[in-house]
Amino acid sequence: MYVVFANGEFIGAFKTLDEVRENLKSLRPKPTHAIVLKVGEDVKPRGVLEWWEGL
Amino acid sequence: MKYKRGTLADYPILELKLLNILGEEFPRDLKLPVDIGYEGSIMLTSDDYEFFSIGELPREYWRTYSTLTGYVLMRVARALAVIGDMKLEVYVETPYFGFEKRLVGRELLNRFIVILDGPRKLICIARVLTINYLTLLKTYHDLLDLLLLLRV
Repeated sequence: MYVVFANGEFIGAFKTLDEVRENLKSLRPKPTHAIVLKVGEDVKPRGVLEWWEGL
Repeated sequence: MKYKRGTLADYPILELKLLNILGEEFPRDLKLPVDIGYEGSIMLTSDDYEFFSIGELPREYWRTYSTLTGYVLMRVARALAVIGDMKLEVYVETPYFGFEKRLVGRELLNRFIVILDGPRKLICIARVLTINYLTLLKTYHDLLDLLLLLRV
């Protein structure tokens, strides 16, 4: 399930990415930024990850 | 895909298409250097990343990377990657304090079989042919039974 926030509001919870897409596209004003979380699949990192080279 | 020219040693790149969660295709060609030292999926420049910020994860889900020069916080967004005939949900990231780098890392590479053919300077995505081992085992046992029967 995807939970979506845009334009400073909770937009909804949707089963598929297609539903997320349709709902975001229907918003006015059209958002350029949104928060989308896939509940249960997106995980908070439990530690620091590796990037051997770096910037 | 061909390797890209390096100063001393050529390096593998992965060519892919990226779409944001609205289904819009990222307008630039993406030939991303393969970096197994990078634990994440896809790193983009901060300019590139704006195209995908319509599917950004909450800040608590952003990642911090340990590098030679210290820690780097990355913004994370959801995107869709098209690699050959595969379409995958992936994460794209960019350093919070913008730097210009594009890479593909282990989180994405570990999702399929990548063959690095150094001598020919080719990177290939391989596919596993599914083999029904039970059928093979049964055939093997049938063969053993036959050999015993024939006393070979």
